[in-house]
Amino acid sequence: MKMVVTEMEFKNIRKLSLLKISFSNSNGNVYKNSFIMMGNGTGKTTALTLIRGLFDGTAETWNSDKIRSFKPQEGEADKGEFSIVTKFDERIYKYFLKLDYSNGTAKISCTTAVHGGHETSRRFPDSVKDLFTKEFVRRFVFDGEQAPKALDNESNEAEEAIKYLYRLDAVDEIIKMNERILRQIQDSEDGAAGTDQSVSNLRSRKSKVDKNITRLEERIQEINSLIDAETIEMGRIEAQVKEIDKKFEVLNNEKTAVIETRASIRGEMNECISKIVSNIKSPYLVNNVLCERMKTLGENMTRLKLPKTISKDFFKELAEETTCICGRDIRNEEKVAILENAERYLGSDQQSVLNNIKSNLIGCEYNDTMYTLFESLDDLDVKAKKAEDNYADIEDKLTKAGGEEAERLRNDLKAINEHIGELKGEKKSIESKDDTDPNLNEDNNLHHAKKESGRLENEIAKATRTNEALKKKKIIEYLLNKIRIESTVRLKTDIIAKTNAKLRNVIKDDVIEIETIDRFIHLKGKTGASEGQTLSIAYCFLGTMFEEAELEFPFIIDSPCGKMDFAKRRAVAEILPKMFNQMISFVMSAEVEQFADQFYTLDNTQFITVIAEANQEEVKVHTGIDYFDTYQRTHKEDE
Amino acid sequence: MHFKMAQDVRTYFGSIMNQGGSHGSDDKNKFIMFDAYYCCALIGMAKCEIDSDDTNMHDIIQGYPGPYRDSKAYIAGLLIATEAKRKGIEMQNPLLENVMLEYLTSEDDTLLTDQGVKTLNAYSLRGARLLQDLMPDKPTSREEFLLQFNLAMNMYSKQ
Repeated sequence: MKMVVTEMEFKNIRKLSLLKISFSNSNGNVYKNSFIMMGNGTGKTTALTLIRGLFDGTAETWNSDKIRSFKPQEGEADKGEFSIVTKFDERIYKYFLKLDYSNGTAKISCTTAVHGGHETSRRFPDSVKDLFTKEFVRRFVFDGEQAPKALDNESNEAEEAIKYLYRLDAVDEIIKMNERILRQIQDSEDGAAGTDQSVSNLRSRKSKVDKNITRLEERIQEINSLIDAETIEMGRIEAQVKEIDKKFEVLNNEKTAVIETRASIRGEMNECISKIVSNIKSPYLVNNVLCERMKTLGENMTRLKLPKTISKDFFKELAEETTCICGRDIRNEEKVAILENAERYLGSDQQSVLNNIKSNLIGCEYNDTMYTLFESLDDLDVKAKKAEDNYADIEDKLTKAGGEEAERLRNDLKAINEHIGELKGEKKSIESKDDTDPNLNEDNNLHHAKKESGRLENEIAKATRTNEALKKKKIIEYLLNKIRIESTVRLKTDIIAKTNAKLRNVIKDDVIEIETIDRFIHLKGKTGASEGQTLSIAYCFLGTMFEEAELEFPFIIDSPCGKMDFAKRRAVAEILPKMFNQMISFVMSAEVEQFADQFYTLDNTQFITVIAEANQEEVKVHTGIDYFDTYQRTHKEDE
Repeated sequence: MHFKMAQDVRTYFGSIMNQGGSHGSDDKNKFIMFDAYYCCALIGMAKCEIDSDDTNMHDIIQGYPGPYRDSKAYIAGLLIATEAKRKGIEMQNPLLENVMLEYLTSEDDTLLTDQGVKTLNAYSLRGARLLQDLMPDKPTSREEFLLQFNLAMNMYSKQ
């Protein structure tokens, strides 16, 4: 793609109330070289600032002071406009920078036939739309005074120029984007890091928990089998015991009778206890001393006329009156005294409590109900103990009658019963689904282990997804870095060779050769170069890069020669036209001799002189070599 | 204000308590904790002694449990009569009214002020200590507890 600038227009910008510069000839073809000589104070630096601000979009971020600095000193214009018409191949794009001096704002817009008219922002053809960054634009809208930076050992300019002109910065952008995508995936998976280590840790934890589940399930099977076996064994032993017991029917009948007696005593005892517990709630029935104490209180409450019929409420009401019932005045002093003393009396609500208590206490009568019940309980307790003794005796007799065999069998039965109880307890604990029991965990409880396994499964799934993404991100990052490094190395090798070839044509009075580009340009066998040599090296370097680029850009340059000697000027004048399809050069008068004048004989070149007349605010534009050449001869000493 | 019991006293009565929850039906013949609290309070009041140590006291219940609601006037009356005796106030002394002002209120369903409940807690704790003196081992059956309670009441009310 080829980009050219066909027109620039200034409206109400400093001394430029209206200036239109066309870069096309009468046939509509773009001049290959345009030299614009602007006298002191006519706005050369302003022009370069506006071009950059418009192309890279930074104009919209300028502060209000900077924007108002473009306002014409004379006149009442409160708005200014700068526009550039460009062609990308044959497609025309016109860019506007509108300056509002009242508000101190700048707005960029554009018109293009391609996109159907006016756009509210900058718009470029799709293939170059991402190129117009600040870094890129300042390399084709170039300040000649910045050229020496390529050789400055405190600057990265040479490395940066390669990076931005060959869009290697896009690789950094892709790396950052890659990082952002990974973070989004990690965030969507609750922040799972996804490292190999974290996935491995999770897997080994889950494996351990799953082994627990298998172990616990196997243990339940084992317990079930053991219970079944023990139950069968118990049945077998019970049958044997029964067989032995049959032989001792009399003793067994006695045993049955004792069991019945014991149950009967227990029943009577429960009934007795229920009655005691019921009666105990009436404390006057529990003990005659307590009863007497309660009754005495009730009687004395009556004797003391408690609660008093005059309540606290009466005195409170009295305190609000102005005259007492005795006819005396109740002043503030009396009121305070009445209210203080009222606290010694019960409130009417407390009186009702006292009346309730008094009526209950007066009715308290102790009787021997509880005494009888406790006597019975004591008697039943003795009987119950005796029944227990009888039972133990008979068991003992049966054991002795059955001999050692019966005793052994009973002991076995007892042991089996206990074992079954333990097994059932263990099984219950393993199968419990009680989440609140602090003793249960993934090692001893199936429910906890399954829950933990499920949780780890989810964690692994999350970590695996992020792990995949992490691996892909690392591969992409590796490849991108490799692309960047290898591209940079190859580009540098190529650029060095081609720049050196140009240098041999430009600098003939010395041997200047680039050895390496590492942050800045390193010269072979030299630690520095003269100012003129430095400019020559910079242009050859820059020219090589633009020459090699797939996209052809115009080269808009301010002060291209600086202090370059005549021989080098001529050489640069020879190579610059070869490097760029369009060069727009803002020059000072002193830069014409042996540089701009080298283009006088070339076709397709235009010369424009923009001057400010003495004592006049308006600038004047003169086109053609004659005025341009004459003006430089008469004014070159001014600068 | 809660009726309170010392933690070690709760543990002491653990074997004869209805544990509630899924095992509640198995323990239907056992006591609720307030039964033990109340019996201990009766022992303390029989001896007219309190134990005001309030360290390690734990809440049992706020207000009387259902079976005791009809007893609240008796318990309040017994507390007033016992406090008057403990403080050496004759029953005919008009100062008795001050005791009532301190311990009784219509604003609580127990008829007792916070101070009243606190004092009843102190009688219960003292009663528990007296019972533990008589029966150092934990009671294992209701009958064992009730017989010892009866013994304690008879012994201490006569002192």
